[in-house]
Amino acid sequence: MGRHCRHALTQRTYTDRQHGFTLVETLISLVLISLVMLSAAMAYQYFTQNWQRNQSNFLDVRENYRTWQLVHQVTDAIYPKVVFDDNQVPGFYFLGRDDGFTGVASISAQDPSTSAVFRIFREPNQNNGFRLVYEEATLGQQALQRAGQTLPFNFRRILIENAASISFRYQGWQNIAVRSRAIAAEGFEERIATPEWFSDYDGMERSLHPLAIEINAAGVVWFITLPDSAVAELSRYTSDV
Amino acid sequence: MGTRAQGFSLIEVLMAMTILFAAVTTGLVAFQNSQASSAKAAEVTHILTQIETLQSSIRFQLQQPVSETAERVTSGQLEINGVQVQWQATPINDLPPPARVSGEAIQLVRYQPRYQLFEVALQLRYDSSQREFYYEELVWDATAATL
Repeated sequence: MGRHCRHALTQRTYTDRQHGFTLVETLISLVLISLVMLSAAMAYQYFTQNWQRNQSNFLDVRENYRTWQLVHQVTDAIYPKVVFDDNQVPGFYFLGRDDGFTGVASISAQDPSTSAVFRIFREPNQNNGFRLVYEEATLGQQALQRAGQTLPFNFRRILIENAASISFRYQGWQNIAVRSRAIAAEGFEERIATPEWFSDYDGMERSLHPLAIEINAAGVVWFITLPDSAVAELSRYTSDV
Repeated sequence: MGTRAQGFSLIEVLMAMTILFAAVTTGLVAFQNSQASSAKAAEVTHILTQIETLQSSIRFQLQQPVSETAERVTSGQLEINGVQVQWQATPINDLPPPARVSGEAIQLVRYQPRYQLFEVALQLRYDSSQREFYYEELVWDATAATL
């Protein structure tokens, strides 16, 4: 009973004090609120757009950084892989041309626990220049045994978007015969032969693996050094008489 | 009571506005700062992306065989993906391989210095960001003669 009375009392005081807003007051306040809301919404939209643009720029740069790191790791892990051609002659799975090369690495950019066949090559772009492309086919459970094996190159990244020119060169010995003679002559004064630079290097044809790869993108040289273990590697597949 | 609650006084309105503006301004400044640092981070990451390729390029340049007439190239300027690069290598050591005992006459064969250690100073600039790096690079001349 007492509670009810107090409630009624407060109700009465409230209605006594407040007479409500007039129509004009309400309209003015509505207009003001909507103006403020509108400008706040516009500002918010502007800021989020700006932020998104900024953020996506950073994400692109970070993705590019990641790709380069992975590709550097893969090129550091190139190794001379012996495969057989159609006539059962062993050679190395490496094919270098003026516009790119294909090689084998013990890790892949997609999965560090599996080896991969990859190729780095140039490709014309819309601005009359070239882009440098990395493509990869992981080997996984599949064994690489034949030079003519077809592989699914399903991983593609663009390393350089636009360069005026991109060219490839390979340093290595002429072929296995020259290399063998040079090994036999080691320790003597006279030099039989030295590694040279070639614009193409076929590991099957020369029965050797190159020692270095030079990728020249408009004056900036990307230099990849490779292990010099081709002869030792090949000796496991051939028998000396 | 009725006379007191007629509306806000000028002081009250001013104080409320000041607080509101302070809050909005702080928010804006924080936002602008974060945006500037995001842009800066993007620039620096772009610079860092080029490092490994540049190092291989410099190693290649230093490793070039030097003929008797020409000087070794120990500095350079280049541009890679929009990044301005300046590098300078200073030799800090030039050492021979250890002496070897020759077969015929039992005596030590000593060599000319063959292994050169360089300190490389690398300066990269991209838009408003600039970074400097220092590292050492070892190169060798395979054809160095005996003494």
